[in-house]
Amino acid sequence: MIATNQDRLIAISVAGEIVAPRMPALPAMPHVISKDGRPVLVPPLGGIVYNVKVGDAALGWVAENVHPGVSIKSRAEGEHVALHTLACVGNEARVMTGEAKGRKGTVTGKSGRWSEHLIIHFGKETLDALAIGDRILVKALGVGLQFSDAPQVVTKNLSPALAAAWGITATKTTLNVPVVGVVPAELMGAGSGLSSDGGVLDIQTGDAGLLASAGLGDLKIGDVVAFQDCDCTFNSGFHKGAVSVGVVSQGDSQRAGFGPGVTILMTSREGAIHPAKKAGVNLASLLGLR
Amino acid sequence: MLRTNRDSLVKMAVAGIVSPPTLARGVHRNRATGEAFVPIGMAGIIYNARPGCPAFGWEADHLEPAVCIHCADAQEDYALHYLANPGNDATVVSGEAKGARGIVMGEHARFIIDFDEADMELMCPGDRVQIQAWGTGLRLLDYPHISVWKLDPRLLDRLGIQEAGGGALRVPVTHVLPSRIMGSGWELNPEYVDQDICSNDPATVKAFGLETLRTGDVVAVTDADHALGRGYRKGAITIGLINHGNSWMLGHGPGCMTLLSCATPKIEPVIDPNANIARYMNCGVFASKGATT
Repeated sequence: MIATNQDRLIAISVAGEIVAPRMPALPAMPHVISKDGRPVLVPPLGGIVYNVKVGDAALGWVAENVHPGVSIKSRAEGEHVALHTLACVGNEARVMTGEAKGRKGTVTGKSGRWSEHLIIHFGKETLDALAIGDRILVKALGVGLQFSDAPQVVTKNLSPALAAAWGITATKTTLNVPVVGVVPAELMGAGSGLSSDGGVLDIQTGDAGLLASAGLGDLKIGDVVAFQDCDCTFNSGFHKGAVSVGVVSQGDSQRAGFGPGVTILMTSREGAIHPAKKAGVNLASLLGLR
Repeated sequence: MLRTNRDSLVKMAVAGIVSPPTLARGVHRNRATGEAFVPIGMAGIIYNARPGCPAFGWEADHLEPAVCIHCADAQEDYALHYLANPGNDATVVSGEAKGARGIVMGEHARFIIDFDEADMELMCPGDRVQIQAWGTGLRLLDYPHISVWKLDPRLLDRLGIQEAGGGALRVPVTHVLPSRIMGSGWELNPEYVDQDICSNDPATVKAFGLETLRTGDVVAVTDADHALGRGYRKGAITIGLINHGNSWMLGHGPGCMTLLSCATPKIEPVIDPNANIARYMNCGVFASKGATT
């Protein structure tokens, strides 16, 4: 197993509530405008999504950036920032109130500017027992995680559990990181210039041909992907030669500049990440989510 | 002159106040390389940098040259953002500089307005400034495939646009930039605020000559379709306006507002180092003495 400093990291409680989906107030129209100019009425972000889970298709849903499973946030600003920043992909979540009290889930990603939800996977029986407003605790562990052999790789939103399950190896100071595909710089979209300690970086899907030629035409929620020429050390943005890797946390978008949102897991401005393409590198199998 | 629907556009007053600079507790932000800095450059009255100034070289982040205004009421502020456009006339309506005239030069988190230095000496954060908003809804009647954003019709006339035949327009620009180096702002609309050029990578800055950018420059962005939101589209082209100075933050840099956009290569950029709206409007660093219009 790849060596890290996980023994030195603090596990700390953060919490939030299952958010209700929200629509804009009148007189605003409830539609989003698609990239080809159509007003479309689709479910907004958040809530409890019963029929989309990690491992399902990322493309094709009649929705905007659908979040699989459960979305939570805290209504108290400072608590919200702590929840959104400190929780990491692969962390354990526990239901603290309501009918599903005591059930456990797994953090699978975050969402971006305008929503900043934490996205959590629960089994089907638990989903059916959950209610909007239920309080969820997350044992946040992972901020500060460092690979012992790769000082030029900075982790983001990455739990030690996922790092251990991923199959990463090191060649000298470069990490060989299994991914399903590499996103070309042209398709880096919304999220550029915004925080990488939380939030997402979207894969633009407007050019289906370019997406398919990058091997991403059959993208799934939970897939691990790399961004070429992308630095996410402080914020996200174009940087020639940099490589970042993350997990597809949300479904596709119909808006220009948006697409499946990727929660960044690691980045190297110096390019000390070698994306090793491999089919089926997905959170569902890596973490045994069902 | 390009035929437009300008005679059908309503001209109306929107107003704001000269924005006091604000800082959050824990004032530092991080450069792309990690070092902390105190953000200075946005909001307020910038006495020593006016539109047309270099975008790089200042010890400032997101420099908004000259005077910035905003509106405290969120919905009035949205109206200011969606209705006011570069090239619009502005007037100070309260305070010591009452009656001073300026020109809207850009839209960022606030509106950037150029005034004479003598007028700026008299102004104070909180003074009220009114804009004669005009241009939202502007269309090119003979070029329906080219969308127009954020342009006073009088500024459109001064951009030096030539008709190239075959439904194409030729537009003078200082720089041509590829879509892939564009950063923060994919998530925003072309009608609302700019998109930054990622300037954290020295090789990219050099490759595209970014260090010679000036605020007010008119630039082209290739493979960028800004007809509905901002998105990558092969062959599309967008004409932008540099509204603010460089940033040290990753994914940020000089800001590029959207002026014109076409989903196909029907806008031909022509390199002209003088393609700058401060020059076109005889204001900012290019103002003749005693004249702002």
